[in-house]
Amino acid sequence: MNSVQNIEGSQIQAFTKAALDLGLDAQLLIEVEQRLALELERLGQNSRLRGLLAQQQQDQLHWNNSLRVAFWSLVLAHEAVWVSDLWKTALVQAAFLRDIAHEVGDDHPGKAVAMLDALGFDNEPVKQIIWQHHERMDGQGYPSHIQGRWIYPPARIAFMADALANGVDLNQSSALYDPELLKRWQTMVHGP
Amino acid sequence: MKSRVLVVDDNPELRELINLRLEMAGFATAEAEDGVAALEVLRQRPDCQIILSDIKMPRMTGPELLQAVRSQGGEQLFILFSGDLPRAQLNQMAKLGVFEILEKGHGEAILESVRSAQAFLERKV
Repeated sequence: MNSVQNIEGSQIQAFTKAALDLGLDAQLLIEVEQRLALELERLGQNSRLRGLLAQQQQDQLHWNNSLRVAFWSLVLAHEAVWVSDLWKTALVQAAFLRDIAHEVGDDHPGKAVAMLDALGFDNEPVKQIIWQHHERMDGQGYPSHIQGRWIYPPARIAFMADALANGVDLNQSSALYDPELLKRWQTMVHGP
Repeated sequence: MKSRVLVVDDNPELRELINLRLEMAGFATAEAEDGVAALEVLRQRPDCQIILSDIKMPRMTGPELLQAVRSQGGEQLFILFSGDLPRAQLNQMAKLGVFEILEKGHGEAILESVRSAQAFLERKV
């Protein structure tokens, strides 16, 4: 295990501890940790993404945030039977690729997707998650103000994972999130 | 209840292959050769809640079918093949609600997406 993986390992353990403190199930978190480790290994093996990811890794703070979003994405996806395996992988990839354009404006999802298109990266689910990860269920998200019911389902997970990664209290802004995912989250924390 | 899957493709062999794969996985299917025929099937088969459609077809394309279904108030889940569509057109389709956009010919991915769509239809809030 190299030093970067060591750092990732300790970061993931810190996320797990925070999730345990919130009341999440230990077994669920072990499975999420295992899945995240698997996805990180897959990412590392992707020759097309290697250069991009190495660049992203230069900014450790930013990299840790991507790792946190990937972790929470997998937590939210864990027991949702409608989340395919393909989407779980795509959610992790999207967490690490969504900011590759190093832009902060409302058009940063579009710019990241344009960059991936230019690089010949052909995984459309990853690109749709990136493009829609700031869309909100109330239709007031960006860049396209997509109506809630038409938002790409895994992008709803990415949006909520981003909020969790940044410590947002989901109950204070419940209209922004997919209601089934929100209910699933509340059940994870408070029980059925 | 399991949704019937409407498979829309102008290639009859490919349509048959996809239908066979879906039926072996326990899904009921319907088929149409293009968007115009698909709209007719949807009128007759309201249990088609999942639509698996090619992009380029004569008379009415996949994106045009999506537009037509949405303009009639249809909320079916669309799984579309990306083809070689430009980004602007892909995003335009996504705004109308696309459950999945797949590369054509990925058999396992098609089945996985249809299963995912079925579970999405069954989820409870």
